[in-house]
Amino acid sequence: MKQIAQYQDGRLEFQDVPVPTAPAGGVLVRTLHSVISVGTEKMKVEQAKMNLLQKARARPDQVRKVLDTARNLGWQSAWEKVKNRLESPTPLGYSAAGVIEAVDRNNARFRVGDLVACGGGGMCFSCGIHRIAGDVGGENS
Amino acid sequence: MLVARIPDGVATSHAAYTTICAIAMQAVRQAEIGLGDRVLVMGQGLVGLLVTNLLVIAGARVAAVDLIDERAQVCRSLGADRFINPAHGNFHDTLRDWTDGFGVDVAIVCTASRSNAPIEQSAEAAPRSRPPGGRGNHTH
Repeated sequence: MKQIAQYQDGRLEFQDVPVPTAPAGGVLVRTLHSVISVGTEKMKVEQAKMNLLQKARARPDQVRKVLDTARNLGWQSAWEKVKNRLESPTPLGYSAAGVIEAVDRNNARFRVGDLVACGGGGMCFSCGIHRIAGDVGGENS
Repeated sequence: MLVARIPDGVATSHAAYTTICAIAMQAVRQAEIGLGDRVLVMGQGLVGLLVTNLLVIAGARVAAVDLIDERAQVCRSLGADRFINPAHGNFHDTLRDWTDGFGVDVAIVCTASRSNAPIEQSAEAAPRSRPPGGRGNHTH
């Protein structure tokens, strides 16, 4: 399936990624419409284009995490972590609507074919299919 | 995390905005708005407009702030009492006049700016409340 991914060097790619399976208690949602926010996503794209110094200035919270890692595990580990983070793409998107394509057997709330709105960082991206965990959220969340 | 069944008659293209609306609603809920509260909403993009709309529904009076004058009409159509563009230099005067000099009760910041100005302006506009900025919320 297709997914929009942001690299930390500023590249933005429309990628082919594997189709996920429904997590325990969760559902898979095939995207019909997905929002790309001009606030959050634009900020991510702008930050990705910054050099390391500019990134550090823009995200002092991340600098603190790097310093914590360096204190606990050493500078080598901290640098490896930073390098991995910079080389890994970030999927964009967090608000979408679609149709349920698969339901884990432990989820009695939804059925295949239900039209749903969905969202949440780390799960609901601007991509073909969302993998949404069942242990959080629900119809009234 | 959120999954919600889409009611009959709602287009999926509209339902896709549900999470964005939930972000705006959360800001309003956390601000614990009371009837007649005077609320400053910094930024009238998608989230800011939703916050303005929800505040009016909740019984608050809203001063909507944005750097784009063309957004004034839609802010007023959603029920905002005032529209202020700080670039015109009348930000503090308008708020002083609107609140009889007391300052706003709540400030909600919905800007995507790299500038710290919206936060500082919000803190100055809500001098009576603690923490600085009143019951201030910052949302993206």
